[in-house]
Formats: sequence, C-alpha cells, structure tokens
Amino acid sequence: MAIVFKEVNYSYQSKTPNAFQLLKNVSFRLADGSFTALLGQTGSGKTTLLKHINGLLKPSSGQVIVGDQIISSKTSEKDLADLRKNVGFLFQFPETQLFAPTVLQDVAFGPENFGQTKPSAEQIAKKTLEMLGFDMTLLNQSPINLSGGQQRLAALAGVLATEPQILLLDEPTAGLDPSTAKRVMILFKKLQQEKHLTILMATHDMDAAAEFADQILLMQQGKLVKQAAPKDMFQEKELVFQKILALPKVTTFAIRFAAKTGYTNQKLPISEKELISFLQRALSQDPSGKETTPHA
Amino acid sequence: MADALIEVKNLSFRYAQHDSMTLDHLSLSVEKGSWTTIVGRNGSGKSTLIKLLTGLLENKSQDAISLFGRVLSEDTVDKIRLHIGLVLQNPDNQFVGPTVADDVAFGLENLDLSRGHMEQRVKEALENVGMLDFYDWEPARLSGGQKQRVALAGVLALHSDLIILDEATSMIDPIGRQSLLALVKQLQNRFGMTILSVTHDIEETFLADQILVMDHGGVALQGRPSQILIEDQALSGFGIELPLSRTVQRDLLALSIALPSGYLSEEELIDQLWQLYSKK
Repeated sequence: MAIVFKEVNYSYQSKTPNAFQLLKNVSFRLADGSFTALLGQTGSGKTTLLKHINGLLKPSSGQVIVGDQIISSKTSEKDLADLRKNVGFLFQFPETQLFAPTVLQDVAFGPENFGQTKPSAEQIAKKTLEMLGFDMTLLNQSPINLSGGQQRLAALAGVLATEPQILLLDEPTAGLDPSTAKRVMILFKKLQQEKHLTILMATHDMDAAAEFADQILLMQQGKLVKQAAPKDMFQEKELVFQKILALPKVTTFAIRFAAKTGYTNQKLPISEKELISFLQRALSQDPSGKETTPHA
Repeated sequence: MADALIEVKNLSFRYAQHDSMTLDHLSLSVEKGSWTTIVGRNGSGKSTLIKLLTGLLENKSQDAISLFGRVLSEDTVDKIRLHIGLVLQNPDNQFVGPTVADDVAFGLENLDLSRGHMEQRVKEALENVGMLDFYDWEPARLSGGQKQRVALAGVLALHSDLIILDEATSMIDPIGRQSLLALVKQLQNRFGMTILSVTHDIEETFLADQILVMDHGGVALQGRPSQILIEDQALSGFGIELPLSRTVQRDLLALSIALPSGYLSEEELIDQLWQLYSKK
C-alpha cells in the first residue's frame, strides 16, 4: 500500500490557547513496497507523523492517503477500522503495548481479534516468535517478567502476527543488542522483499538507515527537510553542519580523515566496504593531487 | 580495592518464575570517581544487576553488595538510595510532576533546599540537557528522547555521588546523545562523580575508565577500554559489536597497509592514516 501526505498540518490541543504545531505542511509519497527511514532529532515530529498513518492522530488540515483510505480531520473512527487491520505499529516503548497475562496470549491476541480461531492464532503466534529468535522457554511467562530486549521482540511478534501490509516502526532496535538488532533489521528487509510490505521506520541508527532503507525522510521541527536515497542524503554536509542530520559511523570516519588530510576527491562512503576503498584510494593517491590508480 | 564505591561479591539472583539463574556468582568493583560501562547481550543480566544495586529488586544474597562502604540491606537501602541518581530506559515510568520543572524538582524535595536554591538547580539542570525552553511543559507533550533528557536532568539536579544510567540515552538522536554523554564525562571530571552506565552503544565505552562485559549472569571480561576493545574474538563471542576503528584497522591491515596492530582509538587511527597519506 502506498502512503501519501498532502500538506499535512497537525497541532497539539488545536482548540486551546496552548496549541503547538507538531507537523508543518508535510507532503511526500512513499511507493507500495518501499522501505523508508524517518530521521530527525529528538522532538522533530517523527512519532507524530507515524501516528497519522494508522489514524491514531488525524491531520488538523491536509490529507493522509493510505492505500485507498483518505484520512482528514473529518474522518470518523469507524472508517478507520479496516485501515488498522492493514497497518502494524511497533511503539517506541514496547512494554506499553504488552498487556496479556502471557507472551503467547499477547501475541495471539491480534490474529484472534482479526478472526482466527484460538488454536490457529496460537500457531501463528508461535511461528512469529520463533522467526524473531524469541527465547521460546519464556512463552508462558508474563511479558512484565521479560528483559527489555525480549519484551521488544514479543511486542514486535504481536505486530507481525496480524500480517499487516504496512509496518510502522518507532525505534525498533533501541534496547536490542547489536547482533539481535541486525537480525531484526534483516528480517524487516526480507518482509519488504518477499511479502512486499511497505515499511516506514523512525530511527536514530544512521548505520541501519544507510544499510537497509531505499530512501530517507529527514524531519526538523515538524517540517520535512529532504527526501532522498541514503547515498545522496548522507552527502549533505550542510545539513550535518547545521546539526539537522547525523551520519553513519563510516561517513563520519571519512569526514574526519578528510578534515585531517585535506583530501576531498571522492563521494563520501556509506558502508564499511565503501569506506575501505575510499581510504585505499586516498592512500594510493599521488601527493601532487593526481591519482596513481584512476577511479570512476 | 580501598577506594571502591561499589563492591559486589558473589551475587546470585533468580527470578521466582525462571528456571535458570539471572545472576550467577557475580563479582565486580567500581572505583570512586570512575566511569564504568557495562555491555552484554540482551538477557545477560545487566538490568537485573542495576535493579539489585538500587534496591528496586530485593537482594537475597546477604552481604553481597556494598555501596559507599556500607552493606546494602533492608535497613540501609533508603539512606544509600539518597546518594544514587538513577535513569532508566523508559522515562515514562519515572515521571511524576505535572510540569517538566516539577518533575526535575521532585527528587530535590528530600534535600531541604530553599525554594530559590531549588529553582536554580532545576534551571541549571534543564539548561545542561538543552531543555530549559520546556520548563513549564506537561511531560506528556514531550517526545521519547526529550523525556530521556528531562529524566537525566532530574538526576543531575540531585548532584548525586553516583549516577547510574540504564540505556538512558537510547531514544536520543546521535548528536544529542554525544553532547549529553560529554556532559556526563565533564561532571565526572569536575566533581568526581562516579558513573555506572549500561549500553549497547560501543562508542559510549570510549568514555569509560572501565568496561565490564557481562555474559550469562557473570562478568566475562573486565578492564580498561584499550585492553577490552582489542579482544576481537572474545567480544564477538559475547555478542558485542566491535568499534568501527577496530574493524577498519583490521581490514586495512589485511590489505597490507602499514599500520600498527595494537589498539588504536579512532583518533589515533586517523592520525596513523594521515601520516601514511603525507608520506606518499
């Protein structure tokens, strides 16, 4: 399902004198089956934007179009029921979405609610937890007793078990150790490629954005500053200088190297492989500025 | 260690519903005025350890934990806790005040400060975390990362002797995180505060004086960053990400680029590369 924002404004407590504008004239289009990273500083409006896509928030003005469903300030809750079946939302703090007495019941709740029989819902729940590498000995534990990392996996399983067509992820790997985080990111990529899910992920992990996303939306103070592919976005030194955009570790490394040596002959790398060949080329370059090995 | 602020000896803990031990004969020592960072994969027992140290979980191994030279027990826990500033990953669990300022002031109420002095401390702490503009906001209106900043301000305002951060900056953007961690480092240097932090961010360990790697409820590795961050194979085995400077150094060595093979910080590595670059 494609996601379109048309001149979306959103104000918190819009009918009171305390009104505060959290989204300012935001417009973009995300193609069906795309994987987008949503970047921006703390408080730039990422979570607010995500909440518009499943109708948890409605625009104060403008339109959000998800598939063929149009959401505006006038859309009623009743009209959103179908949409919510198709949109899975993993919240920032997973313990806020765990509520059942056991992990199994918690994850099975979604599919059961959407019409599966209890045994088949539990089957789906187990399969999903297993796929995520959840510790299956904890299946009948209360979610409250899990470690932060296992809670996050359980919450994620609850979202995936409903087989959504759109996946909204708010900091999905915060609190996960690096190897688990990597596994989860690879799984998201697989879901995009094999099941054609449309994924929008708010994240502070620039490395993950560079590696997994097809495109990036960059937010600042409620405004969409730029929409671009990672390889183009992370060349924007001006945005970095203004502290609007953070960079992947490898890109920062290359910039530090460039600052120290005065070397500026190449596009900045966004993966470790690119960084190594960046350094290799720089080191084989003739000090007069001519390269001893030519490059494209 | 004479100057240990935290001393843990043979600490074991098992949750009532669990079959296996979450902490298994764990021992560690944190020197006064130092920064110790704990890393380890999910479920290795990091947060459980923090909860036991701060009395959020009841410790059944008697005499296993000493803080500030006193054994942590039912009788001493309230007094000891007054000296600890704790920030958890999810700040929603810690918010209590109707405004950001009230929230930061809450912990100060126990300290017998004058009204004016209290207000000054609140403002100073909010300024330090870049949240002074949000002084009279309702906490509910803040984003996840802003909440983490306010939670940190609440602890900074206390001027605690010991600050414990359990993934306290995980929701803050990278630029903001770096500046907050630099601030914590500054407080450690200036006021001799002791810092204990739990993180999955390998770059945070660069600021520490000591790294503890936890695995299966025990301390698997312990030492200075320059000793620990060079243990490539062991770290991978414990699910710890290697620093970028380390993997780059390794990749370049494999390409026969003339670099030293011992531990180099990112700055040292770039220095070495700069020397190679200017020699050509």
